[in-house]
Amino acid sequence: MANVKLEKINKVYPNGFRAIESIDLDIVDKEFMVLVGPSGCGKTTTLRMIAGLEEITAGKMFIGDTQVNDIAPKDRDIAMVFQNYALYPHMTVYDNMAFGLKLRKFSKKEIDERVTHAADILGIEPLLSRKPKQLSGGQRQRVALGRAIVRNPKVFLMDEPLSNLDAKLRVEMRAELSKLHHDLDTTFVYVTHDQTEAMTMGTRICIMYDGYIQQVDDPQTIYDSPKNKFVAEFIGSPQMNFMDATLVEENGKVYAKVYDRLLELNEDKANIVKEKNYIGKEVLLGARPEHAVLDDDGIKAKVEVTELLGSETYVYSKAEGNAIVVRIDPDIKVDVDQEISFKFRSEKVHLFDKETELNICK
Amino acid sequence: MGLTQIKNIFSKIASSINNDIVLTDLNGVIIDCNRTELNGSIVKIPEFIEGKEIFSEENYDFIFIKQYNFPRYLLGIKDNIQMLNVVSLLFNDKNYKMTEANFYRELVLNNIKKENYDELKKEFKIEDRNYYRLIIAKVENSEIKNAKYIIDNIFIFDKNIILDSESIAIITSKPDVEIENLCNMLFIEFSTDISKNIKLLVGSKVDELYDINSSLKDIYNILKLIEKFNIVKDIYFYEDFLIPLLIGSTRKDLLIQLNDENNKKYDKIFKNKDLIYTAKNFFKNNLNITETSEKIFVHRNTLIYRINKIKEISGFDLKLFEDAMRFYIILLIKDMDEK
Repeated sequence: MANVKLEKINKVYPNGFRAIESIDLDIVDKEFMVLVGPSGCGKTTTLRMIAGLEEITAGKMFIGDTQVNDIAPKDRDIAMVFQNYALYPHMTVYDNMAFGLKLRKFSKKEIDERVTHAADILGIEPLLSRKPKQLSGGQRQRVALGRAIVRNPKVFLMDEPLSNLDAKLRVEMRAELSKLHHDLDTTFVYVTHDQTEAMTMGTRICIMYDGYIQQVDDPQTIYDSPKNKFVAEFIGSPQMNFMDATLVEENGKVYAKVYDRLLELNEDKANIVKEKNYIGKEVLLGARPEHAVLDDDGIKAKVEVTELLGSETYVYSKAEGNAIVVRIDPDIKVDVDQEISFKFRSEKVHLFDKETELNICK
Repeated sequence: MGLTQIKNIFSKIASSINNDIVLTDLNGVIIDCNRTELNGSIVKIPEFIEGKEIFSEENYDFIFIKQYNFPRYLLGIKDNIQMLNVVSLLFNDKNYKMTEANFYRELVLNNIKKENYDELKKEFKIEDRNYYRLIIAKVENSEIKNAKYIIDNIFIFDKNIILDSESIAIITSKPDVEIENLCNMLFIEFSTDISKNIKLLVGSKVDELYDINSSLKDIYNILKLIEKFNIVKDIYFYEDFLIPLLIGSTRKDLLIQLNDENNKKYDKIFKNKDLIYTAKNFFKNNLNITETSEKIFVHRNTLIYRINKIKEISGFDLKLFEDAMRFYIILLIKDMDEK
């Protein structure tokens, strides 16, 4: 069991490409930390640096109390699971799981104990004598996990391990991985570009973009209080709506003026924007689709598409040329080209500085 | 007889005679000698004439030292041809037998003549395949056995041969996707369990097994290129290096001149990190706007704006293959220059 600590870690490739810019991250013992972000954000590079597969250009990396910058991957007490969970085709499940231990010259007895124990945890004991081609995708992925578990590592590192599975299996495996984390009671570091995986599995999420960490928090905090526009936009599906707004003060109350409609800000937000001198300034107002309420005095928009999902309906509309998505009750019927009007719940909206894109009220 | 054994015999001889004695490769690079200051330097080697056993050049007389019946090294002694005759007997590899593994090894090293090849192919009952491809795994000397063990378990139906103390050759006919998967597996397995010092190089495809050496030559060219430009990857595919190889073979002064001109013309683009990042990702995603915008997480309108911006400054419309190709090469030359 161990925590993983990254202190001012930088990664610059020989061609000068700066993949990671001075990141600090403290992954606590036994936590399920998900590194998430778009392609090229540096999440896999970070994981590979933890594994020791990439040199660290600057900064310090600790696993437990040990600084591991110069420690070889094999001596870091980690185990990795990858997207390409290739298994040795000619070997049985048992031999596949035992292979790494054989390389490390473990005794037969020790290998047998570890493989049996891992198979028990994963519920794949009946499969031990089968070969990979006799397994389903999910079973193969379990064997790949088994190969990691037998190492009994301090830290599990997983790089998009579910991305080769079909959608249904991915959902099942998400739950299984969370259960596995609970059963093994050890540290997981998990890389994905899929925000749903991040939100459903992570005890904390580290959102990365362009080589920088944008925010590290538990999933609910990330969703409710994004630090900046990027995080707000990245997490949530459909994405958060963004609108230009001007902050105005009238009769002691503070409003965000959006599409010529006034949205009164609650007291907390009003105080902050006043304190930070945003009155009279243009900001970006962010609001999630589910925080819209149909209201005749609200923003007028023309319906372009409706998405009926059974329990809810998403309405894709255009207000003064800008796309806005709102969620409505499925019992309410709206048609394409119909005009709707709505307001956003003021306590749920976010205000972002137009230049820095930081959440003003965070 | 392996190089270690050859060097052992050499060092015993070297310590027991007074004459200058050298062990070189076929290019005359000294591998070992009894005058340590000469190690690594080059001696002038003679012109070889088939059938002749002893060759003389300047002050040295040379004989071939054979491995698996093929000349691989040169032993040179100064001013003592009789000694050379005696010494040559110590290197006789009488137990040599052409095994199937040796056949593949010598084929990779281009040591088999076509007429012998046809005979040996029949002898070892080797069937033709659609194409062949060479993969070289370069590891540290001390890890060669572990590497071979893993490779034999991953590339189970291929021909895996230890080429020298740091290289294993894999002759495969597998499809590209499978090669990539297996190489990934090999890289991860080796890096996490043995040592991270492993380089995997995948050479070009050849139609005939007999031509497999050209796949090796391509790998050597990739190696030169990755050393020259300090390129770091897990797996080096020949196809990824086609354009760099082409550019790398262009005259250096021309490249510099071209890059200077490009720097002036496209300065505004080169200084804009977002534009370069967008262009490179657009190339990676086969000029597909939707895929690129999803991968780099920018709105497709932002992506289109950036592509239009590049067009506005440079005139290259990256949505068109030819323009994209031109701009790709410009960026490649720029990257090479920076490296």
